[in-house]
Amino acid sequence: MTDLAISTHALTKTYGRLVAVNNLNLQVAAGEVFGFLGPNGAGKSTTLRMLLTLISPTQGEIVVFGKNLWKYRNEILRQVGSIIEKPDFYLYLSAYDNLKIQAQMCGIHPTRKQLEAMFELVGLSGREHDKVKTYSHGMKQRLGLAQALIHNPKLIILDEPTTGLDPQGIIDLRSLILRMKNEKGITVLLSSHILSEIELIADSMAILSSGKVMVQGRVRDLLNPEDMVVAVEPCDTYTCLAALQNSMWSTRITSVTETAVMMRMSKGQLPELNRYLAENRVAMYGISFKRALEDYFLKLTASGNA
Amino acid sequence: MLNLIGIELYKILKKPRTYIGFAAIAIIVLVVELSFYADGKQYLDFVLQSLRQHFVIQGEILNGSLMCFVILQMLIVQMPLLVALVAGDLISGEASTGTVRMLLSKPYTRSQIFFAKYVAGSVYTFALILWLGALALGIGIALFGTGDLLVLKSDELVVIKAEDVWWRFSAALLMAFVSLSVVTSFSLMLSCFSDNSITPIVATMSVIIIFTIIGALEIPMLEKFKSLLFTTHMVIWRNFFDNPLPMRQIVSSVVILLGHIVLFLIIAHRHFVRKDILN
Amino acid sequence: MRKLLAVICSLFAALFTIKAQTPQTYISLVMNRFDKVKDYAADIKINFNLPGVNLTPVAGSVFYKAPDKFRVKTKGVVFLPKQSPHFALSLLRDSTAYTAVSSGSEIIAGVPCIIVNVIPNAETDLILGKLWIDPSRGLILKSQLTTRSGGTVLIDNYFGPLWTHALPDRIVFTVDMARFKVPKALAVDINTRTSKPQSTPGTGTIELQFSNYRMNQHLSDKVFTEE
Repeated sequence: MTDLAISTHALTKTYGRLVAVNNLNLQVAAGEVFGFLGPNGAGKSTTLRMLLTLISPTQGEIVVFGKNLWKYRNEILRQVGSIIEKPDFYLYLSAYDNLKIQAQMCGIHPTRKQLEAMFELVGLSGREHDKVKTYSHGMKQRLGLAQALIHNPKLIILDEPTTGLDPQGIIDLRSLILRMKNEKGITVLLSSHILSEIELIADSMAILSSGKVMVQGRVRDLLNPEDMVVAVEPCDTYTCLAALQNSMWSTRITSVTETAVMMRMSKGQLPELNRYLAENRVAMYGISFKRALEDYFLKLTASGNA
Repeated sequence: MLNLIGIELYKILKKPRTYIGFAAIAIIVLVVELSFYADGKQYLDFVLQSLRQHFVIQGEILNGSLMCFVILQMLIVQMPLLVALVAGDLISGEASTGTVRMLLSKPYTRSQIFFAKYVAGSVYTFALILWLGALALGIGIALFGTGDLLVLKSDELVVIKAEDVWWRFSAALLMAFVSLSVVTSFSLMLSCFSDNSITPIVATMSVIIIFTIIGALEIPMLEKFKSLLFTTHMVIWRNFFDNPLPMRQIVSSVVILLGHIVLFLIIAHRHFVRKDILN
Repeated sequence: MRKLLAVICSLFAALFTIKAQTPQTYISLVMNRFDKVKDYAADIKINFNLPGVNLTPVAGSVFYKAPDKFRVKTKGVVFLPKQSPHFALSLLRDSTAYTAVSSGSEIIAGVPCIIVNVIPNAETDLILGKLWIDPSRGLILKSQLTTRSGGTVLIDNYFGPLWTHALPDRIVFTVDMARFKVPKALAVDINTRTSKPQSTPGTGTIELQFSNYRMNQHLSDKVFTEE
């Protein structure tokens, strides 16, 4: 059995009648990058804050590195680095002082060399003695990462870490996270509302909606290319449906809208479908396809944002 | 815990607003002392003219001790604002900048963080009072020398012997520290309930002003209530310049002030350790 | 009963003697006694009981040099009467400078005294002096001085072993004074009011207690001028 970095058992947080997190059972294996997906208001931030003891759960249990979080809070948090929502700093202090304070708060007293090495790692060398208030958003994000890493944590919790970063910044961050995982075996739990971002970086993922885990598993299993949602957009839906219903494709139809016929199939079947529709002279505007989970997540996001 | 207090003090030291109080005190002390240096003698002659009709007042009345007392009298009233400026920001300031998330996800209990902040706020308050006392007395002695202290009460003139002045000033400053610690704990309490630092600062000052006004109202119905207001006891430092010392009054005021400190800290701590950090 | 008769008889005898002499004679008697003192230094303790002024007792030294030099040296701030304790005697030195008028008699602390009013002949700070003189010992036991600058001062002299030189052990100055008021800008309101014994409202006393007199030691004038 894989060692678990984090596991939650029936974790629940309510605010009056509002259930922010509902009976959440989450399992994050040690040494993996775990993507925590969900639309706004799904309960991602609440969960991450509960993992950092910023919010106390209404009920349920959180176990980190095999120990109850609330019982062994300080011992556990000494091994955790985090950026919640956005990296936060004392703007009136230099980046160097911020990092030093952060380290001291975690009980370590790094040497100048160690601090400089960290600035080097996140690409802020030469700017470490500038006041943080003079930093750009991207620089702050890098400094936030340095803060999360300075005490060599075994677990890093990142809440929407790419928000506001430019494309290069996103690539740098991604490669840094992967380096941490590969070189130091750090477990990374990161939340996002962008599936592609999680897909590129995470080993496992969970999708949260209305405080509940909807899907949880390995990314490669969940984002299986063999399970695609195909949208056929015919010029005339009636003609298209008639052609499909008299064939083997009829079992693949999942739903029909005014403008599209939705079907489910593996990626390899797409050329065959295309050929069949052409042979039956079904005029089309186009065929688009998405992986089933992506489609599901997009619907979730759309309803979450609505 | 010491590490945490050190960090909190370092943050206070690095904040520009910390120095507003010190600078304001330095400017006012200098202005008052130099004004007295220019024509303080004439001013005192005017004040004492009714006594000079009957007596020869022998000895140097205008001295460092008098200057320190006059300045303490003028400035201690303004000190709560300077204290609230820093103490009101201790927790709410972290909430408004978001650093509270970082702070409270560190391997220190919330109680430790809370008390480290209170201790740091108290150290600032103490430093502010010490600065006021040292500056007022230091410049006063440099410009006017030492001597007996003439305390100008509205209905009585008390002469405190020079050898008594030091311990009385020390005790008065310590007492002023206890008084201002009520403001520190009160601001800190409000700071726990707010996510921006302006609210606790303004609220602290508003409460002090309201309580002071109530304290000044001569309405029989309010008399009993007045003795429970912390502002009524915040001027108790002056009692160390009375002769003989009104010990009963001093002790009862200290008890009431300490009671307020404990009450505010309990409320603040209770809220702080249970608070969900949502922002 | 016998004792009472003896006291009444001695009182009558004293009063008869008083009636027989002029005021100037008594003044001369006083002056002769005090003229033996060219200068003196002594230790002093000063007690204050002034309405609106809270001063703890102070100790120090006191210096006198004939005819009218007088100085009290203490550490710190003290309130002293404007007149020196020997103000009346200094004035009485020149018999042409004033007119002495007998104004009856009175018993002061069990001692029969004659009352002499002294009116300066020229315009001086003193307007009127009223002296209670013990004719038997030639001592001023009490004086009331009305001056232009300082109002009326009552001086009670209490003599000890050095009465022979008219040097008192204790002098109490009683001064009429308006209640002291500090301008609001400088005043503090200490929330306390301690009840302390006070003299009649508007009347203050300063008590000088002398000890360890050192007479006629040729005091230098510097003692009276140096800081």
